[in-house]
Amino acid sequence: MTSTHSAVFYRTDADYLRALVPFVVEGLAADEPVAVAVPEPRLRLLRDALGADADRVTFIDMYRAGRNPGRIIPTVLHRFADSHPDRHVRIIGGPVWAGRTPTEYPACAQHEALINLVFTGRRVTIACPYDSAGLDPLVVADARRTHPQLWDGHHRLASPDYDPHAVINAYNRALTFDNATAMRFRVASTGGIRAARTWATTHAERIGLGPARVADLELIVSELTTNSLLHGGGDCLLALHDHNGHLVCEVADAGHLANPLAGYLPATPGSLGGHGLLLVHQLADLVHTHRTPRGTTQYAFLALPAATTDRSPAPAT
Amino acid sequence: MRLRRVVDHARHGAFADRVCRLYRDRAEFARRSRESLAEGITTGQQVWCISPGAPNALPAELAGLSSREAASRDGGARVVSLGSAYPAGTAVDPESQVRVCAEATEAAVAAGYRGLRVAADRTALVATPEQLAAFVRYEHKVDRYMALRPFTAMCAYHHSVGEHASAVLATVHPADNTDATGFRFSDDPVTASALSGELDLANGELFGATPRTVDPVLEAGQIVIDATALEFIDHRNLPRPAEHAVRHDSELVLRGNRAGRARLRQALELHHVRVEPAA
Repeated sequence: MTSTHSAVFYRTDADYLRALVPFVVEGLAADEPVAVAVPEPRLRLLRDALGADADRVTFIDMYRAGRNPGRIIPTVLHRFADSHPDRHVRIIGGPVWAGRTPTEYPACAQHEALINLVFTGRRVTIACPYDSAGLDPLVVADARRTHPQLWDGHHRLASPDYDPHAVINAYNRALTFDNATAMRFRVASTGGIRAARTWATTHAERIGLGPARVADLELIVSELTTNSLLHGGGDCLLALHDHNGHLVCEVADAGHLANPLAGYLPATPGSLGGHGLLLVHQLADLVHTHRTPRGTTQYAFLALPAATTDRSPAPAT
Repeated sequence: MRLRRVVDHARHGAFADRVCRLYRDRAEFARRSRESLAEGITTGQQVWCISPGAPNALPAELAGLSSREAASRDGGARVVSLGSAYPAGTAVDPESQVRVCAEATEAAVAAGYRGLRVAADRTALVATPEQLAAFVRYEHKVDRYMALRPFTAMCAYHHSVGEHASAVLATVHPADNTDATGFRFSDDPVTASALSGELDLANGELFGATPRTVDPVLEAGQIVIDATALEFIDHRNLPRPAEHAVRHDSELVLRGNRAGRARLRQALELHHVRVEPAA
């Protein structure tokens, strides 16, 4: 048996437990390692329902681990599967919840689509719960396109709409910001990377990004501009936007990032380089990529302090 | 750790006890030597000018010091041929060369001087890749001695040594007149090795060759690097000293936990790298 990726549609807590508790219990009975990666309070709901079996399950708060959907594959799913290299593993992964913003959602949908490319041939069963009563119908429709198997707790069937590449392409869009307030800096040589870091951190501090996040931004700027110089035609335009509670670091170049999995796979131990995008996904709160044959633009979002405090945990769905 | 800087003159001041100077002609070397040695005499050091050729053929380097007859008469200023100070035509043995410097310094101190100041044209000592690698190791090792004892030097190289050699040499000196490298790798009396500056795509290739050449000291299964003055390191460069540690079956300890460094280590899953606060 190889990988299975199912969307689990539910409308109530009872539906939720009716589908997912047996999924976990069957996995444990088959001696399969099981992980549950969903946001609170659903995490607690499942843990309580599993009783003593919960002790044999790895629980991960997706609200924290999956804040940026782009880091779920390498640091949640892949990490759990890789920690059991000779076993079939089961994972409940819930990247979409009612508190996701319209800016975040495209990265969630693309994440779901990319899972199908990442785990081809791996002994992994992934079930992704979707609240079909509370989520936007578009989200439910996308789930039918990103999951080869659909499941409502009673019936499993192959999705007639399955087309993950269509979802990857549908959300491959340029983002727009207020050009009047954008700050821009061109990087045209390796010596300019250092200058770009200095330029970006100076502006970030002025905008109000905290010291720890300024250090994150410094790494993000360095890695994105380095990628552009190496793979993007030799120069790039760096821009910073103070946008909707976030500092957005935008790096545009003339290269074509053809591989949609770039940045989504774990680091290869001992390798020198090649993990710049992976690192950006670890550091940023959200990463959006617009890829065309004529150029690539990366957008890394860092929440500004006020936005961070405003982000209460996702409401129960 | 000691401070690092770029200098545009030959005086050492309080910051640098070993200056790497790239020069373009003999007149420049002579002028910079005089500056450096005059400062040494002023501070009570014995001064040596080391250059290729026989001592009696090298008057220019010390011409400006002739008025300091008192210092010269009692041996305070010497002109030494390169061949008598270093093994000519072959790679230096780093440990032996440090001992030679130490013995000369201790002799100067025993003679009543406050230390030894050397201005040396070392161009002929780095003519081949093997000589360069050996000399870089010597430069790194002598750092520790110089941190503890009153030995100071202006290490001069003619620009004909080439960009690579001059850049490599600059990375193992506390100060230089090029600022071409963006980072420095020095020996430190406490942690054995210290890194300063910024490391990214611009200097990664040069940095990649340096740990192997410098061969940082391994103690108790650890290579400890004082990184408190390392202002930035990207994900391509952090694995380089880590790889060196792995080759020695040891752990790399980066002392000086600047924000972002631990995140880098975690994201790259460099389990044999430890980031800890500065001592």
